[in-house]
Formats: sequence, structure tokens, C-alpha cells
Amino acid sequence: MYAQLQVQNATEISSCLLGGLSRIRYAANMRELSDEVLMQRYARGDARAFDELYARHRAPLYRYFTRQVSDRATANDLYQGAWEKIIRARDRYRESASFSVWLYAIAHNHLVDHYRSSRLVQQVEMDDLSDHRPGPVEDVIDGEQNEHLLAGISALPEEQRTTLLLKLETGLKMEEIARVTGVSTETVKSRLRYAVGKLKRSLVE
Amino acid sequence: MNSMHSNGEQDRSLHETLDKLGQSYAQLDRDEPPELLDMAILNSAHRAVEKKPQRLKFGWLHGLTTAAVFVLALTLIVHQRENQPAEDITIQFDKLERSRQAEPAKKQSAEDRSRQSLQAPKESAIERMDQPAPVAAGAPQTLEPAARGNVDTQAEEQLRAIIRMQQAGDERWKVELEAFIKSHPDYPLPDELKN
Repeated sequence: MYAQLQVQNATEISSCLLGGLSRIRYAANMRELSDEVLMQRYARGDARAFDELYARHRAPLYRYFTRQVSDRATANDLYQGAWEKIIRARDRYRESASFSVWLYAIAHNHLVDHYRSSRLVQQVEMDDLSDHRPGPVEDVIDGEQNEHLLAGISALPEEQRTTLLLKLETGLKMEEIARVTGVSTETVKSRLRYAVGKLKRSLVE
Repeated sequence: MNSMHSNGEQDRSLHETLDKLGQSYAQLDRDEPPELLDMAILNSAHRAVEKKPQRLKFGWLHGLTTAAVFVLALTLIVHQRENQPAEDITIQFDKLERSRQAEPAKKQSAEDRSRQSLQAPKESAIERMDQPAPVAAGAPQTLEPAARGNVDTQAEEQLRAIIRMQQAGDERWKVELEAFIKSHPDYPLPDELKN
């Protein structure tokens, strides 16, 4: 009887260990997979694939919103809304498209919709950087060194700010940023040049 | 050629500037979404792909079962309504039968009472003649037609017995006759007994 119990316990322990090991192995496999494969897996019903995708993109996407809008609550809403849109659109995702491009295209459109609905599109003149108004990011950033850079970014016109943040946060290529924002690659370069020039001037001042 | 060269330089310059800017940007505070927000989004994502029970597969069976139960219930109701009058008739018939069975018992008890009221010689005379006993004095006068017919027959039999006792010279016929008149005050007496 005692021997039988011992065998049973050993079986349970080994199965737990094997289950744990298989989970670890599964998670490790997940980490090796590309964003595109993970998204396809999620679209087929694998929720853990989404967990991995979310872990990869949560912080950059969050900052993309927090550095674009004036208050944290709105940024949170936009962030959650963007992910909800991604979840709903999972069946429409095709592997041929880069996941990052697809993700940020949805996020960008979500942000543009927000600007349109709240009429918060900033119509800052191209050469009006000296007229520096407190931007949205400044409210949440501490430290003088960072404040100048973030103030400069937040003072940029919406299109230039979006393009610059996409470049700095996501590391997307020019062509990919062009696809996300729906403009040509040359327009992206132009916006980036303007944005960098304004930031340089604001940091010197 | 020069413009292409200058464009290339501009691009390179832009990339270099962006790289430097990126390094500075990376040193900024790294905001992260609140934990609750993470949980809400992950829960939403998990719920979206949760496998729902396949109700559609046997959906037709569910509908069929409901329809069958409904038809069965309807059939039972219709059947019950069709049988309802027949049952009523049966109940009425049963009541009538019971009342008919109860009548002879009543008559029997009335006879018993009348017998007790009569004297012993009278009983013996009646028994000797194998005639039914006279109706008791307190017997109901308002009887149903069928019951009245029975009472008349019994009264006639009783009268015949009294006549036979008279003809036989049995003096007890007078006592019997008095008892009969008491019990049947309105019954017409034959000529033989009128005197």
C-alpha cells in the first residue's frame, strides 16, 4: 500500500515537472517566434501567443500614446482602445504584412480618430517653435535634462511628432513609417528633417 | 548627379542625427502601462479566443426536442378535452347507480322498522304467508315513480294477505288492516275490507 502511494506520488511529481518543463519549453519557443507567426497563432486561438506579442510591444506603444496626448487618462484609453482594435482585427491579419507596421498603423489611425473627434489637432506653424507652449509630455516627465527634449517633441506639429516618435520608439524603417502614416517615404524623410531641425534649435535655446 | 549625391548626404546626415537623438531619447524615463491596464487587455485578448461551447452543432436537436414536447403537450390537452364529457356521463351514471342501490337498502331498513313495530304474531303470520312485510308507518309518502310502483305492489300484496287471513278466519287480519291503514292512509281499500 505504502509502495503504491509512493509510486503514485512519484508519478504526480514527475507529471508536474514535465508539465512545468513543457510550459517553460513552450514559452521559450514563443520567444523564438517572430511577431508575424505569433499573431497568426493568436488569430487561430492561441492566447499565449498574444501574451508574448503584448510583452514585446506594450511599452513602446504605450509611450507612443503618452507622448502624444495631454493627459495620462486619455493616453491609457487610447492605448487600451488600440489593443482592443488589434484583438478584434486578428482574423484580418496577413503574415505578409509586418506586424509592427500593422500594429502601429492601427494605433496611428486610432490616434488620428481621437484628434479628429476631440479637435485637438495642433496647428503649429512650421517656424513657430520659439512660441513654445507646454506640451502633453511635460506633465509626466521629471528631470530638467529630459524635459527639454520632451518639451521639444511635444511642441512639434502633430504629423512631425508622430513620425519622429514612430522612428524613435519603434525603430521602424522610413518605408514602414510611410506605410503606417499613409504617406510617401520622401514625405516621411521631410517630416523627420523638419522635426530634427526644430529639436536642435529648441535644445540650443 | 549632384542632386542625387546631395540627397544621399542628406539622408546619411539625417540618419546620423536620428541615431544620436535616439540615444538621447532612450535615456528618457521609460513609461510603462499600469499593471491593471495590462491585465485588462490580456483578459480581453484571452476572452476573444476562448472556445465557446459548440451549440450550433446540435442546435437542430434542441429545436426538435422543444417542438416534440410542445406537440406532445398539445395532444394530451386535446385528448383530455375530448374525453371530458364521457367522463362526466360516467360520473352521473355512477351516481344514479349508487342512488338506486341505496334505495333498496332504505326500503330494507324501513321494513325492518315496521317489522319491529308489529307484534310477534303478526310477523309470524306474514312470514308464514311468505309475503313482504307491510310498509312502516313512517315511510315516506312522496316517492319517486319507480319507488312508488314498488310501494303500491307491496301494499297490494299486503292487502291480499290480509284478505286471505280474513277468508281463512284468522282474526289477526283486523290488526293487520289497522296497521296497513296507519301506514297507507290514502290507499284505497278493497271492498272486502271496507266493512
